[in-house]
Amino acid sequence: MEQLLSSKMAELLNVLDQVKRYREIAASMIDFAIIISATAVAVLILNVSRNLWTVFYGGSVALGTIIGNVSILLIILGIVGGILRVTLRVNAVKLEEWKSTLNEGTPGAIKLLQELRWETIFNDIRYAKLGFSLYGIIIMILCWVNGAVFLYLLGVAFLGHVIHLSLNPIAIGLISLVFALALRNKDLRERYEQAGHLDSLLWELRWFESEFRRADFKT
Amino acid sequence: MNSEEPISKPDLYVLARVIKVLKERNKLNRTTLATYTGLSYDRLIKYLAWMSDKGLVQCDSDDDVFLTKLGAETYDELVKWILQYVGKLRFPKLS
Amino acid sequence: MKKTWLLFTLLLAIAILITLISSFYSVSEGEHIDPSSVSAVVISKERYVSLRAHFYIHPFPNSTMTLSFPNGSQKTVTTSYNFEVFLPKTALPIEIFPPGPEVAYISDEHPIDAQIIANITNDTIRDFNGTYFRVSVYWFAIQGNGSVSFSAYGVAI
Repeated sequence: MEQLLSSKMAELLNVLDQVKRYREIAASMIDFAIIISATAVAVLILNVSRNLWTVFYGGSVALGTIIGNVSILLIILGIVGGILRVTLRVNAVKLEEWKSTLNEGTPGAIKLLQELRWETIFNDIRYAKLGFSLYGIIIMILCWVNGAVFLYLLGVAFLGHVIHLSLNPIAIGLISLVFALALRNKDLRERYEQAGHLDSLLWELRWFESEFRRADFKT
Repeated sequence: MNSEEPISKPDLYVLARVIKVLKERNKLNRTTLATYTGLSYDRLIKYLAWMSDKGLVQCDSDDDVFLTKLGAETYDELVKWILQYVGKLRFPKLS
Repeated sequence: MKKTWLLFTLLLAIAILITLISSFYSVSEGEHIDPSSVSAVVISKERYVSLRAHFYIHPFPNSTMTLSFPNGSQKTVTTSYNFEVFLPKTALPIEIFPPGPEVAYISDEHPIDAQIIANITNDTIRDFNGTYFRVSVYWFAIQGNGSVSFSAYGVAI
Protein backbone atom coordinates (compact mmCIF):
# COMPACT_ATOMS: atom_id res chain seq x y z
CA MET A 1 0.00 0.00 0.00
CA GLU A 2 2.84 2.36 0.86
CA GLN A 3 4.52 1.50 -2.40
CA LEU A 4 1.32 2.24 -4.31
CA LEU A 5 1.11 5.62 -2.58
CA SER A 6 4.73 6.38 -3.44
CA SER A 7 4.17 5.41 -7.05
CA LYS A 8 1.00 7.54 -7.34
CA MET A 9 2.79 10.48 -5.75
CA ALA A 10 5.72 10.03 -8.14
CA GLU A 11 3.24 10.14 -11.04
CA LEU A 12 1.71 13.38 -9.71
CA LEU A 13 5.08 15.00 -9.11
CA ASN A 14 6.43 13.93 -12.52
CA VAL A 15 3.43 15.59 -14.16
CA LEU A 16 4.03 18.74 -12.12
CA ASP A 17 7.67 18.67 -13.24
CA GLN A 18 6.47 18.54 -16.86
CA VAL A 19 4.24 21.54 -16.14
CA LYS A 20 7.32 23.34 -14.79
CA ARG A 21 9.10 22.69 -18.10
CA TYR A 22 6.14 23.91 -20.16
CA ARG A 23 5.89 26.99 -17.99
CA GLU A 24 9.56 27.66 -18.65
CA ILE A 25 8.79 27.62 -22.40
CA ALA A 26 6.24 30.38 -21.81
CA ALA A 27 8.65 32.34 -19.63
CA SER A 28 11.42 32.07 -22.19
CA MET A 29 9.22 33.45 -24.99
CA ILE A 30 10.37 36.96 -24.10
CA ASP A 31 14.01 35.90 -24.50
CA PHE A 32 13.09 34.39 -27.85
CA ALA A 33 11.32 37.57 -28.94
CA ILE A 34 14.31 39.69 -27.86
CA ILE A 35 16.75 37.55 -29.85
CA ILE A 36 14.56 37.58 -32.98
CA SER A 37 13.95 41.34 -32.67
CA ALA A 38 17.66 42.04 -32.17
CA THR A 39 18.39 39.95 -35.29
CA ALA A 40 15.80 41.90 -37.25
CA VAL A 41 17.33 45.19 -36.08
CA ALA A 42 20.82 44.00 -37.10
CA VAL A 43 19.62 42.90 -40.55
CA LEU A 44 17.70 46.13 -41.09
CA ILE A 45 20.68 48.28 -40.00
CA LEU A 46 22.90 46.30 -42.38
CA ASN A 47 20.53 46.82 -45.28
CA VAL A 48 19.83 50.49 -44.55
CA SER A 49 23.60 51.06 -44.37
CA ARG A 50 24.08 49.19 -47.64
CA ASN A 51 21.38 51.25 -49.31
CA LEU A 52 22.82 54.53 -47.99
CA TRP A 53 26.31 53.52 -49.13
CA THR A 54 24.94 52.62 -52.56
CA VAL A 55 23.27 56.01 -52.95
CA PHE A 56 26.03 58.22 -51.57
CA TYR A 57 29.19 56.31 -52.48
CA GLY A 58 28.11 53.94 -55.21
CA GLY A 59 27.42 50.28 -54.55
CA SER A 60 28.62 47.14 -56.22
CA VAL A 61 27.23 43.72 -56.99
CA ALA A 62 29.82 42.24 -54.63
CA LEU A 63 28.71 44.50 -51.77
CA GLY A 64 25.08 43.62 -52.42
CA THR A 65 25.88 39.90 -52.46
CA ILE A 66 27.95 40.07 -49.29
CA ILE A 67 25.29 42.04 -47.42
CA GLY A 68 22.60 39.70 -48.71
CA ASN A 69 24.50 36.61 -47.59
CA VAL A 70 25.34 38.12 -44.20
CA SER A 71 21.67 39.06 -43.74
CA ILE A 72 20.55 35.50 -44.44
CA LEU A 73 23.24 34.14 -42.13
CA LEU A 74 22.14 36.53 -39.37
CA ILE A 75 18.51 35.49 -39.79
CA ILE A 76 19.42 31.81 -39.57
CA LEU A 77 21.70 32.40 -36.57
CA GLY A 78 19.03 34.49 -34.88
CA ILE A 79 16.38 31.80 -35.26
CA VAL A 80 18.77 29.05 -34.16
CA GLY A 81 19.95 31.19 -31.25
CA GLY A 82 16.39 31.85 -30.16
CA ILE A 83 15.46 28.19 -30.26
CA LEU A 84 18.69 27.27 -28.47
CA ARG A 85 17.98 29.79 -25.70
CA VAL A 86 14.50 28.34 -25.12
CA THR A 87 15.90 24.80 -25.14
CA LEU A 88 18.67 25.67 -22.68
CA ARG A 89 16.25 27.36 -20.29
CA VAL A 90 13.85 24.42 -20.43
CA ASN A 91 16.64 21.89 -19.93
CA ALA A 92 17.94 23.88 -16.96
CA VAL A 93 14.68 23.33 -15.07
CA LYS A 94 15.50 21.16 -12.06
CA LEU A 95 13.44 18.00 -12.09
CA GLU A 96 12.86 15.27 -9.51
CA GLU A 97 14.00 17.43 -6.63
CA TRP A 98 11.32 15.59 -4.66
CA LYS A 99 12.87 12.15 -5.14
CA SER A 100 14.88 12.01 -1.92
CA THR A 101 11.87 13.17 0.14
CA LEU A 102 9.55 10.63 -1.52
CA ASN A 103 12.06 7.86 -0.69
CA GLU A 104 11.02 8.31 2.94
CA GLY A 105 7.70 6.66 2.04
CA THR A 106 4.40 7.89 3.48
CA PRO A 107 5.94 10.65 5.60
CA GLY A 108 7.71 11.98 2.50
CA ALA A 109 4.47 11.84 0.51
CA ILE A 110 2.67 13.80 3.24
CA LYS A 111 5.42 16.41 3.38
CA LEU A 112 5.36 16.85 -0.39
CA LEU A 113 1.57 17.19 -0.42
CA GLN A 114 1.74 19.76 2.35
CA GLU A 115 4.33 21.78 0.43
CA LEU A 116 2.38 21.99 -2.82
CA ARG A 117 1.34 25.59 -3.59
CA TRP A 118 -1.88 25.00 -5.49
CA GLU A 119 -2.59 28.48 -6.80
CA THR A 120 0.95 28.66 -8.17
CA ILE A 121 0.48 25.24 -9.77
CA PHE A 122 -2.83 26.27 -11.38
CA ASN A 123 -1.26 29.49 -12.71
CA ASP A 124 1.71 27.53 -14.01
CA ILE A 125 -0.60 25.14 -15.89
CA ARG A 126 -2.48 28.04 -17.51
CA TYR A 127 0.78 29.79 -18.38
CA ALA A 128 2.27 26.52 -19.63
CA LYS A 129 -0.68 25.94 -21.96
CA LEU A 130 -0.18 29.40 -23.46
CA GLY A 131 3.57 29.05 -23.88
CA PHE A 132 3.36 25.56 -25.29
CA SER A 133 0.83 26.54 -27.96
CA LEU A 134 2.53 29.86 -28.76
CA TYR A 135 5.91 28.21 -29.25
CA GLY A 136 4.45 25.75 -31.74
CA ILE A 137 2.80 28.55 -33.72
CA ILE A 138 5.97 30.68 -33.75
CA ILE A 139 8.08 27.74 -34.98
CA MET A 140 5.55 27.14 -37.73
CA ILE A 141 5.66 30.81 -38.79
CA LEU A 142 9.47 30.71 -38.81
CA CYS A 143 9.36 27.58 -41.01
CA TRP A 144 7.01 29.44 -43.32
CA VAL A 145 9.28 32.48 -43.53
CA ASN A 146 12.37 30.29 -44.05
CA GLY A 147 10.57 28.38 -46.78
CA ALA A 148 9.53 31.60 -48.50
CA VAL A 149 13.10 32.98 -48.36
CA PHE A 150 14.44 29.69 -49.73
CA LEU A 151 11.89 29.68 -52.58
CA TYR A 152 12.65 33.29 -53.39
CA LEU A 153 16.39 32.58 -53.57
CA LEU A 154 15.70 29.45 -55.61
CA GLY A 155 13.65 31.56 -57.98
CA VAL A 156 16.31 34.24 -58.28
CA ALA A 157 19.29 31.92 -58.50
CA PHE A 158 17.90 28.98 -60.43
CA LEU A 159 14.41 29.20 -61.86
CA GLY A 160 14.89 32.66 -63.33
CA HIS A 161 18.22 31.95 -65.01
CA VAL A 162 18.06 28.30 -65.96
CA ILE A 163 14.48 27.58 -66.90
CA HIS A 164 13.25 31.21 -67.19
CA LEU A 165 10.42 30.76 -64.76
CA SER A 166 9.54 33.28 -62.07
CA LEU A 167 7.33 32.88 -59.02
CA ASN A 168 5.22 35.78 -57.89
CA PRO A 169 5.23 36.70 -54.17
CA ILE A 170 1.72 35.34 -53.56
CA ALA A 171 2.68 32.00 -55.07
CA ILE A 172 5.86 31.93 -52.96
CA GLY A 173 3.85 32.71 -49.83
CA LEU A 174 1.21 30.06 -50.52
CA ILE A 175 3.64 27.30 -51.53
CA SER A 176 5.86 27.86 -48.50
CA LEU A 177 2.79 27.97 -46.21
CA VAL A 178 1.64 24.60 -47.55
CA PHE A 179 5.12 23.14 -47.00
CA ALA A 180 5.35 24.60 -43.49
CA LEU A 181 1.92 23.20 -42.56
CA ALA A 182 2.83 19.79 -43.99
CA LEU A 183 6.14 19.78 -42.12
CA ARG A 184 4.73 20.91 -38.78
CA ASN A 185 1.36 19.21 -39.06
CA LYS A 186 2.24 16.39 -36.65
CA ASP A 187 3.79 18.80 -34.14
CA LEU A 188 0.79 21.15 -34.29
CA ARG A 189 -1.63 18.25 -33.73
CA GLU A 190 0.42 16.98 -30.78
CA ARG A 191 0.53 20.44 -29.25
CA TYR A 192 -3.23 20.77 -29.64
CA GLU A 193 -3.69 17.45 -27.84
CA GLN A 194 -1.24 18.42 -25.13
CA ALA A 195 -3.11 21.69 -24.57
CA GLY A 196 -6.23 19.58 -24.02
CA HIS A 197 -4.32 17.31 -21.63
CA LEU A 198 -3.18 20.33 -19.63
CA ASP A 199 -6.84 21.40 -19.35
CA SER A 200 -7.76 17.94 -18.03
CA LEU A 201 -4.87 18.08 -15.59
CA LEU A 202 -6.05 21.45 -14.32
CA TRP A 203 -9.52 20.05 -13.63
CA GLU A 204 -8.15 16.92 -11.93
CA LEU A 205 -5.87 18.92 -9.66
CA ARG A 206 -8.57 21.47 -8.82
CA TRP A 207 -10.82 18.58 -7.71
CA PHE A 208 -7.99 17.01 -5.71
CA GLU A 209 -7.03 20.28 -4.03
CA SER A 210 -10.58 21.11 -2.97
CA GLU A 211 -11.32 17.55 -1.75
CA PHE A 212 -8.05 17.09 0.09
CA ARG A 213 -8.31 20.50 1.75
CA ARG A 214 -11.79 19.68 3.10
CA ALA A 215 -10.79 16.21 4.27
CA ASP A 216 -9.72 15.69 7.85
CA PHE A 217 -7.83 12.63 9.00
CA LYS A 218 -9.23 11.40 12.28
CA THR A 219 -7.09 9.10 14.41
CA MET B 1 4.45 9.70 29.68
CA ASN B 2 4.88 12.93 31.56
CA SER B 3 6.19 16.50 31.43
CA GLU B 4 5.16 18.57 28.36
CA GLU B 5 1.69 19.72 27.46
CA PRO B 6 0.38 17.78 24.48
CA ILE B 7 -0.17 19.65 21.17
CA SER B 8 -3.66 20.33 19.90
CA LYS B 9 -3.35 19.72 16.14
CA PRO B 10 -0.39 17.56 15.19
CA ASP B 11 1.48 17.77 11.91
CA LEU B 12 0.63 14.59 10.02
CA TYR B 13 4.13 14.48 8.60
CA VAL B 14 5.73 14.35 12.05
CA LEU B 15 3.24 11.72 13.22
CA ALA B 16 3.94 9.60 10.17
CA ARG B 17 7.70 9.88 10.67
CA VAL B 18 7.56 8.85 14.31
CA ILE B 19 5.29 5.88 13.57
CA LYS B 20 7.39 4.78 10.60
CA VAL B 21 10.64 4.84 12.60
CA LEU B 22 9.03 2.86 15.46
CA LYS B 23 7.60 0.37 12.94
CA GLU B 24 11.08 -0.20 11.54
CA ARG B 25 13.00 -0.22 14.85
CA ASN B 26 10.42 -1.78 17.17
CA LYS B 27 11.34 0.26 20.24
CA LEU B 28 13.75 3.10 20.89
CA ASN B 29 14.70 5.43 23.69
CA ARG B 30 13.53 9.01 23.27
CA THR B 31 16.93 10.46 22.46
CA THR B 32 17.58 7.94 19.70
CA LEU B 33 14.04 8.39 18.42
CA ALA B 34 14.58 12.15 18.21
CA THR B 35 17.76 11.53 16.20
CA TYR B 36 16.09 9.11 13.79
CA THR B 37 13.04 11.32 13.26
CA GLY B 38 15.11 14.51 12.93
CA LEU B 39 13.04 16.25 15.60
CA SER B 40 14.27 18.35 18.50
CA TYR B 41 13.95 16.48 21.80
CA ASP B 42 11.38 18.94 23.20
CA ARG B 43 9.22 18.70 20.12
CA LEU B 44 9.40 14.91 20.16
CA ILE B 45 8.27 14.85 23.81
CA LYS B 46 5.19 16.92 22.92
CA TYR B 47 4.31 14.58 20.07
CA LEU B 48 4.88 11.48 22.20
CA ALA B 49 2.59 12.95 24.85
CA TRP B 50 -0.14 13.48 22.29
CA MET B 51 0.36 10.06 20.69
CA SER B 52 0.37 8.37 24.07
CA ASP B 53 -2.87 10.14 24.92
CA LYS B 54 -4.42 8.74 21.73
CA GLY B 55 -3.07 5.27 22.43
CA LEU B 56 -0.72 5.21 19.45
CA VAL B 57 2.50 4.71 21.44
CA GLN B 58 3.49 3.45 24.88
CA CYS B 59 6.50 3.50 27.16
CA ASP B 60 7.93 0.44 28.87
CA SER B 61 9.72 0.18 32.20
CA ASP B 62 13.04 1.24 30.63
CA ASP B 63 11.38 4.38 29.25
CA ASP B 64 11.75 3.04 25.69
CA VAL B 65 8.97 4.00 23.30
CA PHE B 66 7.14 1.44 21.23
CA LEU B 67 4.25 1.44 18.79
CA THR B 68 0.88 0.05 19.86
CA LYS B 69 -1.37 -2.05 17.64
CA LEU B 70 -3.59 1.03 17.27
CA GLY B 71 -0.56 3.04 16.24
CA ALA B 72 0.36 0.56 13.49
CA GLU B 73 -3.27 0.43 12.29
CA THR B 74 -3.45 4.23 12.31
CA TYR B 75 -0.46 4.38 10.03
CA ASP B 76 -2.11 2.00 7.55
CA GLU B 77 -5.32 4.07 7.79
CA LEU B 78 -3.30 7.21 7.01
CA VAL B 79 -1.86 5.59 3.90
CA LYS B 80 -5.33 4.45 2.81
CA TRP B 81 -6.79 7.89 3.51
CA ILE B 82 -4.22 9.66 1.31
CA LEU B 83 -4.59 7.03 -1.40
CA GLN B 84 -8.34 7.67 -1.35
CA TYR B 85 -7.60 11.05 -2.93
CA VAL B 86 -4.27 10.65 -4.69
CA GLY B 87 -5.37 7.29 -6.08
CA LYS B 88 -8.34 8.86 -7.84
CA LEU B 89 -6.20 11.25 -9.87
CA ARG B 90 -6.05 10.45 -13.57
CA PHE B 91 -3.03 11.98 -15.24
CA PRO B 92 -2.95 12.79 -18.95
CA LYS B 93 0.17 11.82 -20.84
CA LEU B 94 2.29 14.94 -21.15
CA SER B 95 5.21 14.68 -23.51
CA MET C 1 10.47 44.24 -16.40
CA LYS C 2 13.86 45.16 -17.87
CA LYS C 3 13.38 42.54 -20.58
CA THR C 4 9.98 43.98 -21.45
CA TRP C 5 11.50 47.43 -21.89
CA LEU C 6 14.31 45.99 -23.99
CA LEU C 7 11.80 44.23 -26.24
CA PHE C 8 9.74 47.40 -26.55
CA THR C 9 12.85 49.37 -27.52
CA LEU C 10 13.82 46.77 -30.14
CA LEU C 11 10.32 46.82 -31.63
CA LEU C 12 10.45 50.61 -31.79
CA ALA C 13 13.83 50.38 -33.53
CA ILE C 14 12.36 47.93 -36.04
CA ALA C 15 9.48 50.31 -36.76
CA ILE C 16 11.90 53.21 -37.30
CA LEU C 17 14.20 51.15 -39.53
CA ILE C 18 11.30 49.88 -41.63
CA THR C 19 10.17 53.49 -42.10
CA LEU C 20 13.73 54.34 -43.11
CA ILE C 21 13.95 51.43 -45.54
CA SER C 22 10.72 52.54 -47.17
CA SER C 23 12.35 55.89 -47.99
CA PHE C 24 14.66 54.17 -50.48
CA TYR C 25 13.58 53.96 -54.10
CA SER C 26 15.01 52.39 -57.21
CA VAL C 27 14.21 52.26 -60.88
CA SER C 28 15.89 50.43 -63.70
CA GLU C 29 15.29 49.98 -67.37
CA GLY C 30 16.96 48.90 -70.57
CA GLU C 31 16.08 49.33 -74.21
CA HIS C 32 17.38 49.09 -77.74
CA ILE C 33 17.83 52.53 -79.25
CA ASP C 34 16.13 53.34 -82.55
CA PRO C 35 19.11 54.19 -84.79
CA SER C 36 17.00 56.36 -87.09
CA SER C 37 16.20 59.01 -84.45
CA VAL C 38 17.57 60.70 -81.37
CA SER C 39 16.50 59.25 -78.02
CA ALA C 40 16.91 60.68 -74.55
CA VAL C 41 17.58 59.07 -71.19
CA VAL C 42 15.75 61.12 -68.55
CA ILE C 43 16.01 60.84 -64.77
CA SER C 44 13.51 62.91 -62.75
CA LYS C 45 13.40 63.19 -58.99
CA GLU C 46 11.86 65.22 -56.22
CA ARG C 47 14.35 67.84 -55.04
CA TYR C 48 14.54 66.32 -51.54
CA VAL C 49 15.78 62.99 -52.95
CA SER C 50 19.48 62.13 -53.22
CA LEU C 51 20.01 59.85 -56.18
CA ARG C 52 22.78 57.88 -57.83
CA ALA C 53 22.33 56.54 -61.33
CA HIS C 54 24.46 54.10 -63.32
CA PHE C 55 24.27 54.08 -67.09
CA TYR C 56 25.45 51.24 -69.35
CA ILE C 57 25.85 51.90 -73.06
CA HIS C 58 26.22 48.86 -75.35
CA PRO C 59 26.78 49.61 -79.05
CA PHE C 60 26.12 46.70 -81.44
CA PRO C 61 29.22 45.22 -83.11
CA ASN C 62 30.78 47.56 -85.63
CA SER C 63 28.48 50.38 -84.56
CA THR C 64 28.88 53.64 -82.69
CA MET C 65 26.68 55.48 -80.28
CA THR C 66 26.90 59.18 -79.48
CA LEU C 67 25.95 60.72 -76.18
CA SER C 68 25.11 64.43 -76.08
CA PHE C 69 24.87 66.21 -72.75
CA PRO C 70 22.96 69.46 -72.01
CA ASN C 71 26.21 71.35 -71.44
CA GLY C 72 27.10 70.75 -75.10
CA SER C 73 29.72 68.01 -74.53
CA GLN C 74 29.55 64.83 -76.54
CA LYS C 75 30.99 61.33 -76.28
CA THR C 76 31.13 58.71 -79.01
CA VAL C 77 31.52 55.07 -77.98
CA THR C 78 32.18 51.96 -80.02
CA THR C 79 32.44 49.45 -77.15
CA SER C 80 30.55 49.00 -73.89
CA TYR C 81 30.75 52.10 -71.77
CA ASN C 82 29.34 52.87 -68.33
CA PHE C 83 29.28 55.90 -66.07
CA GLU C 84 27.45 57.06 -63.01
CA VAL C 85 26.11 60.38 -61.75
CA PHE C 86 25.19 61.51 -58.27
CA LEU C 87 22.29 63.96 -58.00
CA PRO C 88 22.28 65.42 -54.48
CA LYS C 89 19.19 66.70 -52.76
CA THR C 90 18.54 70.41 -53.16
CA ALA C 91 15.60 70.82 -50.82
CA LEU C 92 14.21 69.50 -47.57
CA PRO C 93 11.25 67.11 -47.55
CA ILE C 94 9.21 69.62 -45.55
CA GLU C 95 9.80 72.51 -47.93
CA ILE C 96 6.72 74.06 -49.50
CA PHE C 97 7.00 75.10 -53.12
CA PRO C 98 4.91 77.64 -55.03
CA PRO C 99 2.49 76.20 -57.57
CA GLY C 100 3.80 75.86 -61.09
CA PRO C 101 4.45 73.39 -63.88
CA GLU C 102 5.66 70.04 -62.60
CA VAL C 103 6.60 66.66 -63.97
CA ALA C 104 3.36 64.69 -64.03
CA TYR C 105 4.60 61.25 -63.00
CA ILE C 106 6.64 62.41 -59.99
CA SER C 107 4.93 62.53 -56.61
CA ASP C 108 5.71 61.86 -52.96
CA GLU C 109 4.70 58.22 -53.46
CA HIS C 110 6.82 57.95 -56.60
CA PRO C 111 9.66 60.45 -56.09
CA ILE C 112 12.06 59.11 -58.71
CA ASP C 113 11.46 58.13 -62.29
CA ALA C 114 13.59 57.23 -65.26
CA GLN C 115 12.63 56.81 -68.89
CA ILE C 116 14.13 56.34 -72.32
CA ILE C 117 12.21 58.55 -74.71
CA ALA C 118 12.58 57.86 -78.41
CA ASN C 119 12.39 60.40 -81.19
CA ILE C 120 12.86 63.55 -79.14
CA THR C 121 12.14 66.96 -80.57
CA ASN C 122 13.11 70.51 -79.60
CA ASP C 123 9.87 70.77 -77.65
CA THR C 124 10.80 67.69 -75.65
CA ILE C 125 14.21 69.16 -74.92
CA ARG C 126 12.54 72.40 -73.80
CA ASP C 127 10.48 70.33 -71.34
CA PHE C 128 13.61 68.62 -70.01
CA ASN C 129 15.27 71.98 -69.47
CA GLY C 130 12.14 73.60 -67.98
CA THR C 131 12.03 75.26 -64.56
CA TYR C 132 10.39 73.01 -62.03
CA PHE C 133 10.10 73.92 -58.39
CA ARG C 134 9.69 70.50 -56.81
CA VAL C 135 11.43 68.33 -59.34
CA SER C 136 14.90 68.24 -60.85
CA VAL C 137 15.59 66.56 -64.20
CA TYR C 138 18.81 65.05 -65.49
CA TRP C 139 19.02 63.95 -69.09
CA PHE C 140 21.25 63.23 -72.01
CA ALA C 141 20.54 62.45 -75.64
CA ILE C 142 21.73 59.26 -77.29
CA GLN C 143 21.90 58.29 -80.92
CA GLY C 144 23.23 55.21 -82.66
CA ASN C 145 22.85 51.48 -82.99
CA GLY C 146 22.81 49.66 -79.66
CA SER C 147 21.14 49.49 -76.29
CA VAL C 148 21.20 51.52 -73.14
CA SER C 149 20.30 50.38 -69.63
CA PHE C 150 20.40 52.15 -66.34
CA SER C 151 19.65 51.69 -62.65
CA ALA C 152 19.00 54.48 -60.21
CA TYR C 153 18.89 54.36 -56.39
CA GLY C 154 17.52 57.21 -54.34
CA VAL C 155 16.79 58.02 -50.74
CA ALA C 156 14.25 60.57 -49.54
CA ILE C 157 15.64 61.70 -46.17
